[in-house]
Amino acid sequence: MKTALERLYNGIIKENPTLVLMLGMCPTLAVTTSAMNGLGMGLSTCFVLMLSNLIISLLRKFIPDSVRMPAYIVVIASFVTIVELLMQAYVRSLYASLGLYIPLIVVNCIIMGRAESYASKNPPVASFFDGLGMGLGFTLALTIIGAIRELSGRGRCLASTSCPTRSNRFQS
Amino acid sequence: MKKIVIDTLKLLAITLVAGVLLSVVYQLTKDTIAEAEAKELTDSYSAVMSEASDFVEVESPETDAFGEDNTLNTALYAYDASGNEIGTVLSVTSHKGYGRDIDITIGIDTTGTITGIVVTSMSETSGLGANCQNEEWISQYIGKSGEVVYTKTGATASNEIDAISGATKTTRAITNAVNAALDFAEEYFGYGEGGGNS
Repeated sequence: MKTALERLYNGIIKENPTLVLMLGMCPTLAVTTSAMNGLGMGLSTCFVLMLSNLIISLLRKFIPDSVRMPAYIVVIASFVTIVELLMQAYVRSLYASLGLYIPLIVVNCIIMGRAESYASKNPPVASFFDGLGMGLGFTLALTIIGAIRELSGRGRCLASTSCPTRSNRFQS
Repeated sequence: MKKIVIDTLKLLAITLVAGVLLSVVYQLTKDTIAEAEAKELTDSYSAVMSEASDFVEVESPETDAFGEDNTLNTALYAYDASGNEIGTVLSVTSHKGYGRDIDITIGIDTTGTITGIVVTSMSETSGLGANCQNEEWISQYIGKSGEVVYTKTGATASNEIDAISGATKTTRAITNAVNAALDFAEEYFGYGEGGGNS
């Protein structure tokens, strides 16, 4: 329990992947055009991180050192494809707005980084919470950046208008 | 030598399990995805012709009404619940957008009047041309027939619409595509022939 909480704190605050470790800058810049996109991307990545960390940790004694990279990629890519299929089936609006960036979660360096530096050396439960913490940290950072960009760029946040924009001027 | 074989077999095992899992998820989601896609397509047709209950694609219609600036993607006959032809739904791409192509779906009834229109895909400037997806703006086309004209000084005549402020090029592209669709409906289906206000 103590490890779990420590891992969550570590991922969200102390070693926040985006704001402290400066990892995953590509999706961060690309998808944070709105708070909702940031949140969707963050949660998808979080899901993949938790499960890939868990599986890689469970398999850490089975996976030979010399082929660990391809093995990690297979595990990560499988979970990303599962997320993509599920999203395509049940959350189509988010799938449409994130598009190409969903398959690109495979090459998100946060996931590979956590697999290599944490999950491959630590027990499953701790790894699972490490993934959850890191994922939530990533989600938090993306949502905040998305909200700021949406507010300054379009004058609204999570689709509620906060100040008059040009779009309100059609009929005038 | 022995190590390389064992390593390969282990990687193969992981890949196999992953492959099996993926095919299971694919099988589970396949039908839902296909259903959702089909529903989205019908929904986009119904959105522009709410009275229609059935749509049948027109086989390769030949036309030069669309010129080089626009492309007709699909043309459908729209039928009401009792099987009467009540108009057409056309999916048109304009190549003259300020960003890339603009895709619109438009419904035209048998009198040559626009029953509905939606912009299904575009990449116009956010806050300017992107406002073409704004319900309030695009609905100006509804009820128009003959030839639609856009104006920047406030629409007065019945066939005029207000241009999007700051996005004349987007307005022109969509209006041209709409007019091409209206021409096509008159030429090919004979809708509203002799009528209209042009």
